[in-house]
Amino acid sequence: MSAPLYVLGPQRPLPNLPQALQSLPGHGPIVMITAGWRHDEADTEALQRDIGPSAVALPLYAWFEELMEHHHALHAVYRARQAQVQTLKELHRVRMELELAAWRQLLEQHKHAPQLVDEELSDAMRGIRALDERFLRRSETIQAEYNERLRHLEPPALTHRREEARALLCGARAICVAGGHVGVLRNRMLFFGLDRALAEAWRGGTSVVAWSAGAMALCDRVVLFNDDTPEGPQDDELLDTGLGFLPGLVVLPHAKKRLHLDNTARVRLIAERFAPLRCVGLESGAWLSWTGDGWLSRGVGSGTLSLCPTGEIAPTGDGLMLGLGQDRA
Amino acid sequence: MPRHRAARLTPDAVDPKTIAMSARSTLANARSPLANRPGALRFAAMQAILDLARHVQQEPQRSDELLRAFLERYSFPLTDENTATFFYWDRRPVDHVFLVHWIFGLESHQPFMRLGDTNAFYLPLELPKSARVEYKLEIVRGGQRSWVRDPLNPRQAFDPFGSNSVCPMPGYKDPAWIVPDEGVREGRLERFTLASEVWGQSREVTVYLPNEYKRRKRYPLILCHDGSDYLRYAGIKTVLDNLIFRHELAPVVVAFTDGTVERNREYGANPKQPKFLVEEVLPAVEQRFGVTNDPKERGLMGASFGGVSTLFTAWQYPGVFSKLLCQSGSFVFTDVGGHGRGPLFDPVVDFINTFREDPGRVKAKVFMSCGTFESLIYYNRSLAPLMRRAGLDVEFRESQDGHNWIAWRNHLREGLSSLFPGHLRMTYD
Repeated sequence: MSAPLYVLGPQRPLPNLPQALQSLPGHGPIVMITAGWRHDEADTEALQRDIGPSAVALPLYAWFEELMEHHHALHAVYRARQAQVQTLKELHRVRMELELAAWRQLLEQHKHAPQLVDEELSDAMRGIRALDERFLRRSETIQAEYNERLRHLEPPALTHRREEARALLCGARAICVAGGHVGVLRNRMLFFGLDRALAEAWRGGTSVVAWSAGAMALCDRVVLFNDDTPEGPQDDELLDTGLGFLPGLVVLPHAKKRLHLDNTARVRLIAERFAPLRCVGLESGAWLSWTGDGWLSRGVGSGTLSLCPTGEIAPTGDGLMLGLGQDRA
Repeated sequence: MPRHRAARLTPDAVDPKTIAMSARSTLANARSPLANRPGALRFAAMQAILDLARHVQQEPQRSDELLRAFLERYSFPLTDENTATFFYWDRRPVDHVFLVHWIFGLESHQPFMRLGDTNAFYLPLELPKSARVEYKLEIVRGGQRSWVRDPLNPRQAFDPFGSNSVCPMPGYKDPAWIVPDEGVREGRLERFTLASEVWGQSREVTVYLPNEYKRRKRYPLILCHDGSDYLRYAGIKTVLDNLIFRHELAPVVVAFTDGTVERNREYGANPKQPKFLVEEVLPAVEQRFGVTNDPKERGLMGASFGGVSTLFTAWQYPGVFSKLLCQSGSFVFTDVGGHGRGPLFDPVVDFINTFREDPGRVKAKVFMSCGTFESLIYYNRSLAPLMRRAGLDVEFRESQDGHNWIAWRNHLREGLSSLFPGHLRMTYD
């Protein structure tokens, strides 16, 4: 029996973290990862109130800043990688914009000649997905080169911090990963080797609870989305791979506010693009629990929304299971 | 182009075909499927008044009763896709009624037409479908003229001169971000008094601090002209709270300054105002609050003459501010001859004429907005491409509105978030 693995909705306005923590087994510290709050990482008073006296901070953001300040070579290697990734993202965005525009145009044509357009539409979606795969492959290559440079360079301070983080996680009763800036959170967690440490701790019986950007960063893929920006709707963006810790999900916090869910074409696009991963909108009050073969919805009825490649929103009320791989495109 | 329909309304003036259609086209059925057809609504609005006129003519002894029923049935002004019909009824005798508005290009004093022999008047006016018009009514009675808000219209907008009635056309919607978002974390306002050597008097400065404000941090800073008016009439504090809460706007500190009764002289390309802002306000705010000293994260904003002062300050002190928000800037210039706007504009015109020769001296990203009902639209439209050609990063937005605080409020989201973007796409709390 593995330790509990929970994905929660945003903690405002309906916090359900205290309720989730109450259900966890064992004793010991509860580790807070709040690197997504960036400069405010240490402002954990409210979170500590929810967790209680056993709360312990894992200050990844502060550690990172400190290391970068003192190890210029490390800083240079890191910045070089970031610059490469940024360029790659820009190239991906340029190409993806055209692919997405073509898909949308074909969808418009679909009603006039569905049989002819169907195949084109499927092919356009294959193109979109292939482009995403290509981006991830190239990003992975950059990451591998970076890891290699880091291996030669790795200052003892970094090794020490990584080991410190691993020990803290493995000795904890639970790990809470809060929201915030998903890019910063993901990068800091990877920088300190939390992808491996988190998995090791969980296998050893440490529970994991993540919400909002915290949950997004733990998915296989991190998808940025927002249909309501001052500039108008923008294309979804594949940020990169996540820590790959939440099987089968693409987590979309505040989906009702950030996505035009009444637009079936829009829902279809995001769901089909990232299938077989299941795009799940999480509202405040949502609570998903990993069962070993799927996700069990335990939260408030309308808090969890499953976005289907048909463009529909499937209900996922309390007690309903979200199986994996059912919506393959 | 909006135009005035001049005919006096009597039933005799109505085309028989129009009357025949009236049975199936009143405002009451404007919500029927027929109302979805372009033109159907326009006809329905006028038809309601035509019906009323006919009934009043047929039963003059019941005119008060008919008018009361009419007023109870509808809300005013009657609007359809592109026509607003204003209505006025007075129990006492009235000689004339005029619509007073500030739509440039349209006669500013529009006479109403009398409905039969009653003291009821109406005026249909063609307007763009997303327009928002502020207006008053001028009532002429026994040679006495008085301006009043439309008694049949509860919608009002406020400004330093009082308030006006507001006619929103069907395509206009108040933005959602002008009322506090659910769960929004509010910032706070702090005030301090600055003994200004430049002006030889004390000036109040009100400073907005975002909810997350910490003294040790360094926040982007915006200096705002006409600060009290932005706070009072444009609701800018709520806007800042919401935009920061939504991560559309980076957490910023805003220092609100005000002019005096001589505000137009102070803001109208007067070298004292930039000196006041840069040499007195800026150091005072930097000393008291956690704000950046990086020019790249410093901005200026203002509306009307405040827009002029914004641009003029950036011109006088190049490199001190990198982001400018100019709303309906009074950027009057001349190519030849005089400007015809009075002596207050003399220094403004001199400055803008000089600025046009070297706009690149202002090293800043600029967001400009202007209403299409303002005479200033032509100057703003003309300046934006000129500034772009000089290498400035300029965004320019128009709205079907006038020179007023609501129009300026309505552009704050785009303006502020484009100059000081938050981590909207990256942040998921």
